[in-house]
Amino acid sequence: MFIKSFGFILIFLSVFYSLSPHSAEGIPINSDVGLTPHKGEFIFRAQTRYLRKSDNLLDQGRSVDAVVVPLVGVYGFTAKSSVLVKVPIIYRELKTATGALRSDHGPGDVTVLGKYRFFTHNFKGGTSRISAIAGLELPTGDDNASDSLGFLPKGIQLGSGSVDAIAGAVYTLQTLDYQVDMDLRYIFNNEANNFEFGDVFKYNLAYQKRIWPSILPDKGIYSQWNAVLELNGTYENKSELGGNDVANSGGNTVFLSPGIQFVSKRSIYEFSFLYPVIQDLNGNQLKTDYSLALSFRYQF
Amino acid sequence: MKSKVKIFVVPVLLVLLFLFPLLSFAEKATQKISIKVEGLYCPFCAYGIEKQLKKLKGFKKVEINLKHGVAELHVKPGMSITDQAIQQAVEDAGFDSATIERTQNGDKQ
Repeated sequence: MFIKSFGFILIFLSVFYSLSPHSAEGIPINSDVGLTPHKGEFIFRAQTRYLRKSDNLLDQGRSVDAVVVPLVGVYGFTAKSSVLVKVPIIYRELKTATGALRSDHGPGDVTVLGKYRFFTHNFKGGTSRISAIAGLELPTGDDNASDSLGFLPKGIQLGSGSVDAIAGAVYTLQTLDYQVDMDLRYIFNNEANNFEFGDVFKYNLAYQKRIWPSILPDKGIYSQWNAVLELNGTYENKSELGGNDVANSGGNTVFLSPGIQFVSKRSIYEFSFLYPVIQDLNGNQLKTDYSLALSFRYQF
Repeated sequence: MKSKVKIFVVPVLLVLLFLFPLLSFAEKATQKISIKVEGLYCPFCAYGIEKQLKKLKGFKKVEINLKHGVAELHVKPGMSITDQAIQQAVEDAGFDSATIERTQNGDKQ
């Protein structure tokens, strides 16, 4: 499973390096970046993500529609260290096999993430940076919601109920023409209410190429359009209920995510379409049909 | 009436004639500092260096040339900005090093 995923990543990298001796930059849409904000900088990001899952395997007519609006603030304490706070506003709706609709909405689990840039290498025509990230996902979302049919399934609840640790690293290679980012992170999920979500390993690879302007202006800070292509992977261990594995949980999903991005001096507007190219899920789980992400960022 | 106009216009012209060389000299005395910033490759990041350089005292204008990774500081006549202050601004913007070159009246210093 992993060999298949990483083989795909290698193909992705080699194809894009061969296509473009000089190819965009900015910040990827669904992946993190190895750059840190400057000292005293505050960046606000608002995003709308839509995700559609349906019953591809048994065709029982089940489906999930989810809209998540993560509101993110990032502050640069020093030129090398920053803190990010993410508050997701969530709407999830499950259509069951009987046609019943079960839904919940409200704030989800808040994430607090620190980033420290520990490696910088400047070279003729580019720069590469590596940052370490560590943080916590706090149980601010409701994890015990119910409706007329009883408690909502764990996948529909807004929160996990547990304090979960996050650790990872991000690499960025940036030139005036193109940018490559690799974002690896591990989420150590903990138990709450006799249930524990499986640990999650996220692996993202992003490539951006400037498509306009083709020739850079000799003076000033210009605005630009980037074409973005990302591989967004998530590997999740099986969840546990009362100490026993949940058969219909965990697995590996990889999205191939083309996108478009407008970058100016103080703001970024972007759109990404996430299409699942690998879905190797345990047991009988709803599979993702597609996901959409629309966002903007503004720096103060 | 004509003589009154003359009385007004002649002194104004004289003052302008007197000020012109001074204004011209002041323009010539402007110092330009070119800062080659290592690792500056994105518009969103370039705003950071512009903002940090604008915190320095004594500049008239800050220009960023992203294509060449150069920031230009036009210093007010009679003012000075130290290399250390510039280097600190560059570091606070998230860039590690800069090469600083000063020119006065178009001549390198």
